[in-house]
Amino acid sequence: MELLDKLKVLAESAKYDVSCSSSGSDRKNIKGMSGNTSLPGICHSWAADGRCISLLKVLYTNDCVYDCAYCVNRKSADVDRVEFTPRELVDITMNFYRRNYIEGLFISSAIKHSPEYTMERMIQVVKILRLEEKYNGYIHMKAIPGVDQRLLDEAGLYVDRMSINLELPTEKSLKLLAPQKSQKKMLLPMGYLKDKLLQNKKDLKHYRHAKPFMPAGQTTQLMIGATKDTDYSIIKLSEGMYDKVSMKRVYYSGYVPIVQNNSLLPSTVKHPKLREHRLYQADWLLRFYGFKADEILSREMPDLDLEVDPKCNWALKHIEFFPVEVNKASIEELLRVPGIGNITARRILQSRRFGPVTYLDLKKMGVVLKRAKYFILCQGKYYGEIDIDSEKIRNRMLFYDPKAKNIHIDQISMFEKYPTMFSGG
Amino acid sequence: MIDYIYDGSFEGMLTCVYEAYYTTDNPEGIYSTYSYQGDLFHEPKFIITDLEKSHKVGLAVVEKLSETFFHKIVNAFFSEDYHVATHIYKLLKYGFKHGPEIIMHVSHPIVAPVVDLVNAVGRETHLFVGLVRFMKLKGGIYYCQFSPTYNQVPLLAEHFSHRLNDQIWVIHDVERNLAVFYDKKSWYVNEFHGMKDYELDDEEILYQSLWKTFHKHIAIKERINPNLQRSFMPKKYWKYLLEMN
Repeated sequence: MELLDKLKVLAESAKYDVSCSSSGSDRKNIKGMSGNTSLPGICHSWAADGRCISLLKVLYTNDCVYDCAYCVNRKSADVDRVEFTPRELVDITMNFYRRNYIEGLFISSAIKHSPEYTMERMIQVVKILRLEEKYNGYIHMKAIPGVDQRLLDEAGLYVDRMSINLELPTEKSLKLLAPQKSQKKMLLPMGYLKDKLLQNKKDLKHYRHAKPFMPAGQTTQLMIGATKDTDYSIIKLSEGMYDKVSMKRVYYSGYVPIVQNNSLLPSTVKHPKLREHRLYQADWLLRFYGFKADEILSREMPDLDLEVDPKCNWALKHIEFFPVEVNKASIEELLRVPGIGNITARRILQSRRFGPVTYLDLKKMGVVLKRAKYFILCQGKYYGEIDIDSEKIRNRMLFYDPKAKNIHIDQISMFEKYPTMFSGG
Repeated sequence: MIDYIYDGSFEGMLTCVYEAYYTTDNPEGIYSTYSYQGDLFHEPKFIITDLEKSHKVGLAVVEKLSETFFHKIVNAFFSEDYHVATHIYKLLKYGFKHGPEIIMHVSHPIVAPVVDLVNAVGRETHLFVGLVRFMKLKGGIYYCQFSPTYNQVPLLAEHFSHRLNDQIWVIHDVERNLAVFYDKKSWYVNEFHGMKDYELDDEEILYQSLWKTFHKHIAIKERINPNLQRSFMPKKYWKYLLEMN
């Protein structure tokens, strides 16, 4: 098979992996090697769906022994099965890197023969890259649950980041759609890698010759919308991932109904992109804004509001905290205001050292006033123009939000709400 | 009232700042000779670039203010904005008087214009760190053409001299006729009008088509969103972008 067709098939089957970040690793160039890594990461292009392309994201092979219902490469699917040779993949990576097409390699794979067999092939590729080609750029490898720890140890020395996909939020959904996989099997290597990372951190401090182990940490990915799991269970899970296994990121991928005629899977998904977006917003609140999962959602309110973002939603429910005076509030208080982010909050604090911040300054600093104005005081003055009342603010915000009109949330029907009125009884 | 005119170089601008401090001219503005428009009420005065004087000003900025302050001025300068030298002059005057912290006072009318330019240039530099596309020529030289909004050639050199340190490369700004050359040891910026004809490496076409194929097939078809793509990667940069042609 031509190299071009191989790349086509293997890129096409890797595209549902969301992670494409090249961040978290800050490795300087070494003499005699090619490449370095950049701490904030670099995007090299954007695909037609608007997602950034930073890494060469391909599968090593799409020949799989598993039969997960949601996957394009499941055993029972009728697709061409191809496999790179390590040399081919190395050549493509090096030549793309030298032409500045990519920031590095993202290598994943379907499971051919056995997890060990596949993982060994992938390690072979990164070893050739690092040792023969003297490649010093970014590598992200997908680890395969169920492999021997020896293989994880070896891979960790050559890659920047490793990830193990959780696939689905609950054990129950896994049983249903991917019966050959289990959550325990995935959590085990995650915990192991976390311990290794901690140990390595200590070693690097104490020993001069200690080698860095996965400097960019580990990530994971969840598919949403394919099963009936609630947003609450998802962000609760993410919170656990961040707190317990020090995950760098949890990625969410809205399910695209690629598999038709399967009774286990929905054939259409409502607002997949919007739900995905709201989950990411909630995720950001967990990681950068000091929120707890239980503050964002609860068992009684298990799903995120599609009309307003999670932070706005929190603020509207806790309207007694507001308004906040921007010239006096602490950074924690500022971060709770909708429309003020991390960078803006820092700018406000910086600017306050030189004198009071005026309402006009806020706009220049990047505060999103259309949301923030209902929740802040600036030099003692309230600019919201209406009462500080959740219901009124919510209506006003939705009225001025052009995007909110596109969300056709199920309209309340009089027939459904008051069935007795029309039942003739 | 007097306007200072400099030769368009960074050193020229710093010389103007020096002269403004050590003469009684008290200039209203500082402008590049390439773009100066002039008016009835201002008398232009051409300042001859003096490396020693400019060096003194540069050193004063680093020592009395800070190194980051200096980097910000350099970045703002490469925006080639009509008023940039005037803005920088006013900022330096303000900074020398009140200390380096003033750069954080981003809403101040003297600081804001410079910081805005720094951000705009920085954003584009970061974008081009990713969007630069090299092609391999016969003989192993990696050559790239592009046309940025701001003058990015000197700002990109540092990054690529670290990253691609074991290959010979040229980054060529086609509009400004400026290029940076790297010979595996050091880089230098020079005027460059392009090559008449160059021959591509034997494998170049193969890798170009591989990249285009990859770029096309990595997108999820159910979620095509050209507006989003354009907002990250504005159309003005597509001309020299391999995958968009």
